[in-house]
Amino acid sequence: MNHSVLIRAVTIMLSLAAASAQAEPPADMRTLFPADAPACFAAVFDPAHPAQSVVALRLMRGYPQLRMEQEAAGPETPKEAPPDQARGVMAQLIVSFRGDGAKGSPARFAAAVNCTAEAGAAKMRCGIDCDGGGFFVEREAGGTLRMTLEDGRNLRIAGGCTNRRAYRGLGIEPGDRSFSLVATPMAACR
Amino acid sequence: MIKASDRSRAVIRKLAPVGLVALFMTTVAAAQTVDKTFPQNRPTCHARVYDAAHLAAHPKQRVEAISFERRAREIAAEKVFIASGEMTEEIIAATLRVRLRGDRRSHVVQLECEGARNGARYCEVPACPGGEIGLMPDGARAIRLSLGGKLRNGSFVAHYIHLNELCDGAQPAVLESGEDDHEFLLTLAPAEACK
Repeated sequence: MNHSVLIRAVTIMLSLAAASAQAEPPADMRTLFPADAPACFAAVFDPAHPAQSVVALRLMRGYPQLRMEQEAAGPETPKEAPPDQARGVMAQLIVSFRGDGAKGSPARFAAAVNCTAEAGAAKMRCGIDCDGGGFFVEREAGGTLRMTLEDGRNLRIAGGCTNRRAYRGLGIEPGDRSFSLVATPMAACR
Repeated sequence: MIKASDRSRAVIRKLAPVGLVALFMTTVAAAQTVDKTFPQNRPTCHARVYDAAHLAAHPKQRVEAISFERRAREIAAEKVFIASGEMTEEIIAATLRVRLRGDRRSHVVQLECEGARNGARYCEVPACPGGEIGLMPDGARAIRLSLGGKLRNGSFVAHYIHLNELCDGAQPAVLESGEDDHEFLLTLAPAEACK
């Protein structure tokens, strides 16, 4: 198994195991991220905003995350029992930054995240693998999600735990620390 | 009195077995890159062109031709992964070419594929993370590429892969699993088939 995949799997298993002792999270979390269906929350920004380097941000849970969550749960998981989201859900944070992608298009980076919530908590806390930082997610009036970076830290947006691929920091610009995300069909979340 | 050079030799003698073990482990790791489907240092081309009869029987299928190629360029990239010191024996690089029905252009994009459980690899376009195409050997001479897949409860979850690196640009190209683009069986072919 690839080193980064192994580290990621161990990190996820440890965080799932640690969180398994926690009680049920708010039912809201299940609504946001069903166990066996994709979900996407997205925000699009003014590409010319002076205090933002982000032009698009997606918090999504697609087939790769659903598949990996089942793999992390182990082969003995009964067919009729999907992974228990009370212990945490896997998702992916995809961020497109203004500028230097192909042909001047935005440059896209992604990080694997694992989100957990304590009993009765209004927020989920999502952490990026290998201490890439964390952020909180909570539902706002009107159905949007508020994503807020933890105080004093930026997020390391990278694929995996190694430096094989380039990565970017999120949160450096003052306008890149809190985002309002809207539930978006997967077809529009590519 | 033991001289420094003697101490060095003693240390070397003590460490020699460790070094041999490390060399053995490195060799094992390198050997793992040599598998039947993607031999190390040898280019490969797997391709499929769907004929008119197949396309007529699958009217919802968008893909008309698809190929998965490891050329000298990709093999060089694989060596860079290995030289980086990571345990990257299961990473392969490839070029994916797709021609869609009714579109004479050939979409070309670079992939990186990492190993996962059950012998499957999962490939993404590094510039466009989020999309993913599954890669599973099918015998020694064929591979299956898949978009999305079934969960344990039997439900199929659709997915996609970008076909260029302009994922947030003005002209993104995306292949989705759709109604009849879930899986493609590609067979080993001469390099010309991947052009």
